[in-house]
Amino acid sequence: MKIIACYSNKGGVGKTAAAVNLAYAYAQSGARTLLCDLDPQGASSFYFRVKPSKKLKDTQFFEDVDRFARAIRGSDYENLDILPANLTFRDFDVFLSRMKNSRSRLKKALKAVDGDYDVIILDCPPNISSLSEAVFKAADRVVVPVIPTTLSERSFEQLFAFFKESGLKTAKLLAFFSMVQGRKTLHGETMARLRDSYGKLFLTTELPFSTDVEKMGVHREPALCFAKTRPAGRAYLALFDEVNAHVSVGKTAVRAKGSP
Amino acid sequence: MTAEVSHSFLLDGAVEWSEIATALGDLRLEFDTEDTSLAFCMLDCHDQLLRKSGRVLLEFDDSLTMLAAGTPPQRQATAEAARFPADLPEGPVKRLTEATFPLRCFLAMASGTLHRNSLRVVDEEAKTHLRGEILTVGSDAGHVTLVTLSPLRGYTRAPVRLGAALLAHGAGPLEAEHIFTTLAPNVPRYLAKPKMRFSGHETAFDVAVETIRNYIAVARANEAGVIGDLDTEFLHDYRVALRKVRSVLSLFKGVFGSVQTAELKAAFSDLMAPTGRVRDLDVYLMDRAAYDELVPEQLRPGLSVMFDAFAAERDGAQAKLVKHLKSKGYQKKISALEEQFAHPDGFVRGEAGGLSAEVYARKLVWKSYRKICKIAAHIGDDTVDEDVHELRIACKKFRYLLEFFAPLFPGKSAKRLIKRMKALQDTLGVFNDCSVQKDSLATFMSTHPAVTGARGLEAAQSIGALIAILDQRQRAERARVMTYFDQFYSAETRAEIKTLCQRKGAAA
Repeated sequence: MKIIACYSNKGGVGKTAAAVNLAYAYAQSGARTLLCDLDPQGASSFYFRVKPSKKLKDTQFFEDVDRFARAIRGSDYENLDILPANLTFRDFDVFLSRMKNSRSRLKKALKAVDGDYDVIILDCPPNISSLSEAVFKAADRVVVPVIPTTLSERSFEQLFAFFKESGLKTAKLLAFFSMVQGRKTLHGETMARLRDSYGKLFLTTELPFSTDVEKMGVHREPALCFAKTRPAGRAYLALFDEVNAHVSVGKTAVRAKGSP
Repeated sequence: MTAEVSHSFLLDGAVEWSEIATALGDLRLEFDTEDTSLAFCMLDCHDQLLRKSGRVLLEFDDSLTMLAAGTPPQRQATAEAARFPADLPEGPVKRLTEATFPLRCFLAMASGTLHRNSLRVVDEEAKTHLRGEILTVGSDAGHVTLVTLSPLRGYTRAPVRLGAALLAHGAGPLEAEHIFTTLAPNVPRYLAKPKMRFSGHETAFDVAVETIRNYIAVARANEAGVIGDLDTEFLHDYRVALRKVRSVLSLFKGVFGSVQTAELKAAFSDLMAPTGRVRDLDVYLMDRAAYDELVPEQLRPGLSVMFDAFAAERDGAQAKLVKHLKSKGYQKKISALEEQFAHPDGFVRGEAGGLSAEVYARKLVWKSYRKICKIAAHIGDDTVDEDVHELRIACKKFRYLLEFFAPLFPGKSAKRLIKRMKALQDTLGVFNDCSVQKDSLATFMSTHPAVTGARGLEAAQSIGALIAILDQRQRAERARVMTYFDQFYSAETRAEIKTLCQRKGAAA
């Protein structure tokens, strides 16, 4: 099981859109996928029409394995489940370590409901303080959308520095440029500078600024559903391919799909 | 925990969906307007083990759907030309069928056209809570309408409400038996061990005739499968059925006149003779992987010389067997026997034929048991193999008698005794198999043309190693015989057999 965290220490950069479309793309590829909506605004859940769980507001939740398993909701798409968490993150590291430990009660509870996942995507809230380092530690990769502007550049530098200071592996970071507008010279220059400084940490995929991403809120479904062949859809697919090349959920997914 | 929810329903006649929609409260029922018409097959194995376990397996739209009351429908992809469970791609249907009938092939029990409609139960935000399918399945013989529900994880209200509404509006739980008899009324039930019911007033002759008649029917039910070479179990069941017939003839002494008995024995022995070689080869070929496991890797190529020879020989033997079964001679013989046992008045009866079956059964079982006791009296760890074989045969006869007469004995007493013998019989069986295989491998090695030249030498080495391993295994089983025998031959068993046989002052 792989854990991919979608994270940005700056809001409104396309983080939830990336999480939602990545989760959808994984599920479509045959991987059993769980999208955890950890952002208190519940945007991921909103996109999938799943209501935030009232039951899961208290911290006791993480102690109670069965309640956790029961809170998971099937999305309208095959292989894709949602955890509409809407909660605080005091015990988030405990939760993640339990997810990873195959002998934990949580893992067993998920198995019992046939919910042993190939990949878990975390839609994280946009600040470092409330998320412990343990989340970054537990995640196999941290996908970070970066708008090619000076402010976003600064945010990414801060995140990178935080990783360094905390002794986290910076190689886990998978940044990509989000809301890119080709006509803006500033965007072009910022991207060139960041690619120069951080090299491989930036994926080649560039998510264009697109109304299709905004329309997700109207359609209430991933852009990959209704705009698969349009620039945004194609970019999300390319993003999925690139992320997956680093995480390689592929093997498990193929097995899950049931090839002879 | 949530209450048990049904996932599959059977509709008899039309259902008012508008009324059902009303019963869903704040949830909404939506239908896919698209009505898909597809070809379907209802699959099972020859033993109809799915039917017996309350399951229905439908193949349509390149997928397999397993339905059963109380569990969500299970679906997986099928594979072109998948004949056996093992041929299927990984999935829930493969897992279940492979565990249930690993050796049997799928058979189409019914086929025809299926109409599929999809339904969804959604909330006010159009989020799906439940998906469903309405399948109208029709064969030449009749049609059934099935509703299957696939709840989405975490949504429990929708399936409970829709399930209750369906039941309240004329739907019933899914009944595999009803579906089977509607779609495939002409497919007879099949039991390799037919269940017999006796009132207790029968004569020994009646029981013998009824048992033989039933087993002839079992043999005949397997003919087509043997001819089609569908799977190995058709021939196996065919042979077991005829062997049972022959056991009745030899164990039920004095029921038929002696000349009559000899004639019948010869007739059934003739029927069975052409089947032996194919079965022997089947057993070898089925166990090929297990044999390979027994010898070290470098000796495996040598074994394939033998297995290839067996496979080639089987082709020839099977062709001969098919010719035999299709021949007018065979058809005439077996039909005549069938006819004779359907109208048994023409048989010459023996002196024991008129005895009460119950009295006769007790007498025979007791006698057979005494025989085991006699052998047991002088058997020990150092007894020669011949005596172990003798014990095996005595035990086998005892078990057959218990099986034949089981319906005449009170409750499950006969079954209980059979069960108690199982470990002993299994060990004796393996002991005997090793012995038979050793002999036949040795014969193969010394006589078969494949065992010549350089490859022949390789083969001989491998077969030699295999014989040595089988010999060790035989000894190991031999060492277990006494332990299992003592377990079976307990004071409790003895007392039970005594009670069974000596009621109403039966012969001792």
